[in-house]
Parts: sequence; C-alpha cells; structure tokens
Amino acid sequence: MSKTHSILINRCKKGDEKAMMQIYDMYCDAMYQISCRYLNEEDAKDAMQESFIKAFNKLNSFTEDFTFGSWLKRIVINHCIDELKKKRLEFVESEITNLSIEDNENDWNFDAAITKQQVFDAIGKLPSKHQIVVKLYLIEGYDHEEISNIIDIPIKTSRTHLRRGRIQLQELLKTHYNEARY
Amino acid sequence: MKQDIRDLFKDDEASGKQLPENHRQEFYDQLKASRPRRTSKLNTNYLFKVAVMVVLFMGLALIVFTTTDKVIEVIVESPIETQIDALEQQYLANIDEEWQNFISVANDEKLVNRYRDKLDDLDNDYQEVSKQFKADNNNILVIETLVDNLKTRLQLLKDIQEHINLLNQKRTL
Repeated sequence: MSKTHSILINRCKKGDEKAMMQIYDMYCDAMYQISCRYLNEEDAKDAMQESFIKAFNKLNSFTEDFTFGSWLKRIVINHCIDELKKKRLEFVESEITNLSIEDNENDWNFDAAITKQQVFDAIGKLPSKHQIVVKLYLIEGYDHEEISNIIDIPIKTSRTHLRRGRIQLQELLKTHYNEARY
Repeated sequence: MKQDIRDLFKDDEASGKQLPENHRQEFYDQLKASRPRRTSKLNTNYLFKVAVMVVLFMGLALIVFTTTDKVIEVIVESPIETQIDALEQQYLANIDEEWQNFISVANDEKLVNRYRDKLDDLDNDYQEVSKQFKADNNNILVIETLVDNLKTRLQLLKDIQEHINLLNQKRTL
C-alpha cells in the first residue's frame, strides 16, 4: 500500500471526515459494482454506503496484512449476504448427497465463444443457494474456506453448492450457445 | 475451443453500474449522523482546553500585576527607609519586652520611675531625630543617631536588670 494511502487511513482512524470522504470517493464505484452482484441497485447503494460507515467504525481492526480494498470488499460482501439473509434466502441445502464423485471439481472449461455477460446472465438464473457460492467463488475469487466463513456454512456444503451450480451453469450456457446458433 | 471461465473474472472491470448523482451527499449525511458522539466529544474537549487556557491566562495576568505592584512600592519607598523601619520595629519590640521584664523584677517604685523618665527622654530625642531623618534620609549621621538612641535604651534596660539580678543573688546568698 502506498504511503499516502496509509496516511489517509490513519487520518480516518483519528476521525477525520475529509479523509473518510476521500476514501469513499476512491472506493465507492468498485464497491458498488460488487454489491450490485448481490442486490438490486437501490439496496446495493445502501449496502455499499452502510459498509463504508461500518468500515470506518471498526477501522482500528484493519491491519496492513490485507490491502484496504480487499478488507473493504469483505465488509461489503458480508453486508450484502446479511441483507440476503434478511430476505430469508436459504444457503443450506436440506439433503446433501455426493452424487457425482467422479466429477472433476476444477473443470471450469466452457466454450470459448461464451462471453462474460452471458456467464453473468446464466449465474442470475441459478437457485439462490447455488448462485451465492458461484458468485463468491467465480467472481470474487474466494476459496471454500472463505466462503464457508462468509455465509456460515460448512466447507463441504460450499463445495457441493459450487459443483451443482457449475453443472447447472454448463447446462444453461449450452442451451444459450445452442439457441444463439440456431 | 474451450476456455476456463474463471479467467473471465480475473480482472475486476466495471460492469457499468452508475451510482445516483446525489450518492456522495447522501453518504456524507450518513457519515455525519453516524458520528455524533465523536464530534461532540471533540467539541467538549476543545471547549475544555479553551477554558483551561483562559483560566491560566487570567491567573498569570493576576500574578504579573500583583508582583509589578510590589515592585512599584519598593521603588517608591527607599531601601534605607525600609531597613531603618524594620530595625526600629525590632528594637522597639525588644525594648518593650525588656521593660516588662524590668517592671516584674524591680520592686523599687522610685527606680522604675527614674528609668521611665530616662526612657521617655530618649524617646523624645528619638522622635526629634526621626523628623530630621524623614527630611533628609540619606544623612548617615542622622541614621547613626537613631540607631544609637535605640541601642542605648535597650542597653540601659539590660544593664539595670543585670544589676537587679546580681543584687537578688547576693541577697539570697
């Protein structure tokens, strides 16, 4: 992290509101993009702003082991998940069975013609419990341990959700690709 | 052709979602509202500091003024005069003490009256010289006369008391 950035963070720690606004200006757009993946635009903006307030309040727990951006992102994600939980979205599957053990966990190879936007759209069609894990893994880049921490599910459940999500995604995109062709 | 779709998300690029125009002001209001305790704490701290500084300043001003007043007094009153005053007070106190001792020791009324007259004479002299001293307080002779006058009175009382003591001792022997 650059020196000026560290100074800015220290000023925030002392309660300097101008420094806080500078930090907000630096990160608000990126954080808004993240929250938009989980909530509608209005809720996403609120969640993003509330996350900043939360972050400033517990800034003393921020250490430079992380970059400020990733620390902030985690707060935003947690806040979004909390909002989703309020809407009574279920993340835990009632019956978890390992149906396809032979399935290769890391096979994320899809047809090269598929665009990012198509993937986004397909993810949006997944059931919420699978969708959230796919987003956290694929888009945010968290591993299963982090995902299990964020949405408070066992690592095993996280793996199962991801696998099912990926399989459904492959199905969806296959159809999409085929539809596009014909 | 296959691609790993995880690579698609490696660079975090904007999805083009725009924040509403007033988001900044809205956030600033929220930020303000979230920190009322902190700002009021700062304000009371600040007020407290100002109050302390005012009190300190006033105290300092008072000290400076009173000390300068004293200095002015000292300047107005010449040092010799104050020294003589102090000396005079000390002698007069001693003389008075010795006089009381003498009265309690002496049982001869004639002797007491004679000494009272002597001391009164000396005191009258002293008052005369004092007037001269006030007119011309740099004259060393006047000052010496004053001090000698006081010394004589004290010595007189001491001598007569010593004499009475000797007489008493002889009587008891």
